[in-house]
Amino acid sequence: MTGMHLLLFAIAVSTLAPRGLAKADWVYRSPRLGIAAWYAVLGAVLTAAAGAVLAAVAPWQAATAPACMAWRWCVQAARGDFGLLGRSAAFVVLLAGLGLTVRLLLTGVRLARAASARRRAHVRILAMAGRTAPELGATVVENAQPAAYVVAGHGRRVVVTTGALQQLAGDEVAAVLAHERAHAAGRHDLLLDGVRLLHHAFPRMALFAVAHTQLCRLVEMRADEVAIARHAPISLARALVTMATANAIDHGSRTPALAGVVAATGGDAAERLHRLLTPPAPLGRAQRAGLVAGITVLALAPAVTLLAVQVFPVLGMCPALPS
Amino acid sequence: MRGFGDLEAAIMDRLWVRNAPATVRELHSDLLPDRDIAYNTVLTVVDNLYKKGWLRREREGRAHRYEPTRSREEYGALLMRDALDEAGDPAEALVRFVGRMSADEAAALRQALQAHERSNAK
Repeated sequence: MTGMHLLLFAIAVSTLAPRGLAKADWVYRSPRLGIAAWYAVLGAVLTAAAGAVLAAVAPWQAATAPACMAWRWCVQAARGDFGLLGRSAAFVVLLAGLGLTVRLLLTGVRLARAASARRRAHVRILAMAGRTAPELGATVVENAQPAAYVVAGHGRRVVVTTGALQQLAGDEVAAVLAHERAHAAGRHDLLLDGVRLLHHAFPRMALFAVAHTQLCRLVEMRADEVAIARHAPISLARALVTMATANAIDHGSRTPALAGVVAATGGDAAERLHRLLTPPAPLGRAQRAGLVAGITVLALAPAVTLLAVQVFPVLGMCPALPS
Repeated sequence: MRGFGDLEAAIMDRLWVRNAPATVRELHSDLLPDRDIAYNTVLTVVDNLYKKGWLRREREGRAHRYEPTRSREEYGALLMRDALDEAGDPAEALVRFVGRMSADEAAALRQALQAHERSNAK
């Protein structure tokens, strides 16, 4: 029964969450809680799905630890205790679960390799051709295009172009660097890597696609929020517009493949600008506390359910199989 | 050649600043005021840079004159292409300040900012 409940829970959350979270006003007001909520949703769905597969494979019996259950089931299945139908059904479910897991692992390895190769190559050139500017806490790259970014991965270097230093006023540069440092300090590259992995492993899952775009959006809003705590929002707004204009793509050179990506960033940038110019009221204390509680419950619900059914009373007690 | 990363960068920097080809001897005396290194170390590192394609050289008498294969600006452009390219690699390795958008969308942003600044100035 647990398996069925977990499956229903996973389906319900992955259908409801994208709609609810993407448009929620509190997410716009507190991007950090939004990020937490998205990861809670992802964690809950994954745990519930894994739990459902386990439950289908190994019929729950009280007072046994998962390892024992699996072992028992293997022995019983091998002896043909469940009949041919039960055996093949369990086999199919197990195979599906394994297949999905393998797919996730393979995608992870492929993405991680590609990303780290690209990062290494980038950092290598950066180390040679960039100038370290300790007063900025950034590496300066010779280029007329105004731009700033963080190289993801170990070290998380903040990079800014000479074009940005020339075209932006001093306080604008400071605000942009604060934004990038917020990405680095918040390990935002890892946050995005996690959801990108899911999205690439299961491209047809709407939940992962929406989660990916939403987390890209929220991570930028969060970095803005950190930056304007110490710098004037208008400085960041001006920098945003200057950089967006300088890096804009002409319609002529716009490839159809790129159009979707570009439209998404254009919309996100407009929203960010609006947020900087007219900052939303922060969440009230009660609302915040309620949301934190809700997010925590959501994240832990499937795991706790599984544990409650499974691990009690004692781990590692394997009752002898009736022969 | 892990440990030489810093020296490699310093040598490339000297060559870009000089803006003219240099022999290992010249590079060594250029570097000496800042760091206490042996001529042979410089020779090894320069040779590595040459083999890795960072430098090209021309024979001059018994020595070689080295210069960077590309300017600092060219590497800068290379880095920017990599950093701003969203359609390329599925594994986005970088977190940019602002993504690329169409000229129309950028113009709309500019207008929104100008409208805000005008209304604040009044």
